Amino acid sequence: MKRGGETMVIHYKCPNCGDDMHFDAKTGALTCPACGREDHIDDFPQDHIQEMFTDEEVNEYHCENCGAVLLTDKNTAATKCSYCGAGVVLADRLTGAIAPQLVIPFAISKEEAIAGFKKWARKRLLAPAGFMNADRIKDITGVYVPFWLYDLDSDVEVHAIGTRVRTYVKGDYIYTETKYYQLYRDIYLKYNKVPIDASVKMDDELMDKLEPFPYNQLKDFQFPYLAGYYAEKYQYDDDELFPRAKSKVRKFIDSFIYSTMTGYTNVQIQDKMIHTKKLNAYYALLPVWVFTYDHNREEYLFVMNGQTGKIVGKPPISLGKVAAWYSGITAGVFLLFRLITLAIAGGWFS
Amino acid sequence: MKRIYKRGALIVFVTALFMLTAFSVFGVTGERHIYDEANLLTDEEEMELENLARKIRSQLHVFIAIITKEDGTDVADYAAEFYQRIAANGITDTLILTVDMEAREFHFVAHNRADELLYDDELDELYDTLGSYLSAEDFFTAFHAFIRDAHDYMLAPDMDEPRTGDGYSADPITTSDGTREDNIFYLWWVQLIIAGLIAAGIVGYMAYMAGGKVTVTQGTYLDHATSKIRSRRDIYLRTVVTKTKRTKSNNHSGGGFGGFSGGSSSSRRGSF
Repeated sequence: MKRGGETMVIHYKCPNCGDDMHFDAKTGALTCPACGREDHIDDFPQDHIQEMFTDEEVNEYHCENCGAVLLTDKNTAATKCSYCGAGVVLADRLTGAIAPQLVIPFAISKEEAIAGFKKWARKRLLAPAGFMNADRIKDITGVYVPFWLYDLDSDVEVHAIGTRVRTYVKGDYIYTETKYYQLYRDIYLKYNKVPIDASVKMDDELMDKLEPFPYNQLKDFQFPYLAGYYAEKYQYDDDELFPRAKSKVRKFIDSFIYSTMTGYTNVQIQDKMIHTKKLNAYYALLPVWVFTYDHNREEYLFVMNGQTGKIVGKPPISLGKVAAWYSGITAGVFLLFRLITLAIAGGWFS
Repeated sequence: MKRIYKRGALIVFVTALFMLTAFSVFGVTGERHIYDEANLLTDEEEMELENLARKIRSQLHVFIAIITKEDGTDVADYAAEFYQRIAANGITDTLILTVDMEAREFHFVAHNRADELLYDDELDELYDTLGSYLSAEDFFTAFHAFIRDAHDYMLAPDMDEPRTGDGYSADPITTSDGTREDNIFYLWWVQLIIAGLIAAGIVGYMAYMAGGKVTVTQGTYLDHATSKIRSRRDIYLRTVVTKTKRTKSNNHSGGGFGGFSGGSSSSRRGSF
């Protein structure tokens, strides 16, 4: 795919009418927006894939349709021509040693994403009324975000002291009986495809909240999935992100450990040895709709899982609504208390 | 010597017989609280005290008995006998006031729960109030104040704030707005503060949750087929038992009179 110092730009041309095709989230096929032709990705005729080579050093790509310069940064792997809208894939950025192995294609179309976002915005009870209408979506972009999916092996050895506490009353005294146990666990844990996002641009916390992605939709990577969307290549390799993967499963391991020590009033860990090994790390592109939203001249960012539709992001908060909810709940609870008080007080001597 | 013994035995026998008949006449079943053998009260007064004692019993589960007599027998012995009778009917949390008009003596004793709820200085207060009203031969006021003050002291949360009120009101148990005064959770402003805190928690949670939350758990990526506990041991080490005293208890005796069979009691005795 790569030739000399040049970079390849790929267009998927419609075999019928020659327009630029893109990957359709609903049908899971390459679709022509002009004539409606659909082609399955595996069957797409090779001679309709147009490749163009540009000079890598210049870091400038040209749309083969209109000749416009494709404005990309060096991490963009798929984009749209900002002039004619053609979906293009910058193939060299996803080939060779850095080729993605897996992809989860979009299952939610742009229209569904917008509808889903509006519905979600309506449920933000503390957001200002202007936000709940969700009519100020500035931009919506389907992005394939680079992730590393780790298969991890963990050997865990734990020593702990567990206590069982029983209290009982005898005569004038309350007795507290505490039984101490020495606990030992030797555990083997395997976690499959723990996702860590490898993009600098994407906020790690937002990406963690977007999970889980449905792994039954994982496909072997093919370029046509990217047509019509934006894609980025990874900016951290799997070794650089391994510590993050380890700390992520560390939380899972801790809660697994506690789940093996039930039946105790209190468990105090004395020492814990966790050895986590990387078995595999798959480079995968996962589908995310990114919304930018204008509210009161401020820009808000929201992301949506392109498969499940789960939306994450901090909406603006209206102080007026916070005050209204606060006083409403206070008044309701207070009224309830008064009623209970009257019911009890009234019942004492009747 | 022999004669004295005989006489002593006779007195004990007659006293016991008298008490037996007296109590069987009283019918110590826990139905009545006021036994006015010395006729110090009118029927109406007796009825009012009876009602007051009944109210307190249903509220605090303490049985208050007032016994008046004029036979000169020892007030403490009499109260002890009465307690044994009533305890046999399952009533052990009692405050018993005995007044003898011939010896002009009075005595009261608090058992178990009543003993736990009444502190030393509160017993002293009761003693002082009783003494002054009895000396003035104002029996109804003396008994009414005794019952009301005992009730207030038993409700009071601690000894730092004994209820002092003089005179008596028709219903000393409730405050003017009909709520119990001993529990701060019944105060409207305390409830308002709690309601405010609950609302703050709920609204804070709403704001926190507005941005979405992590929905993966430790089981999401776990390979259930191969993950396993390779070995586990739970070895018993030892048992440690600590004990703490259950409630406040003041086991003392003002008139040389101790507790019964494991229960606690406190008493005061005086003359007027």
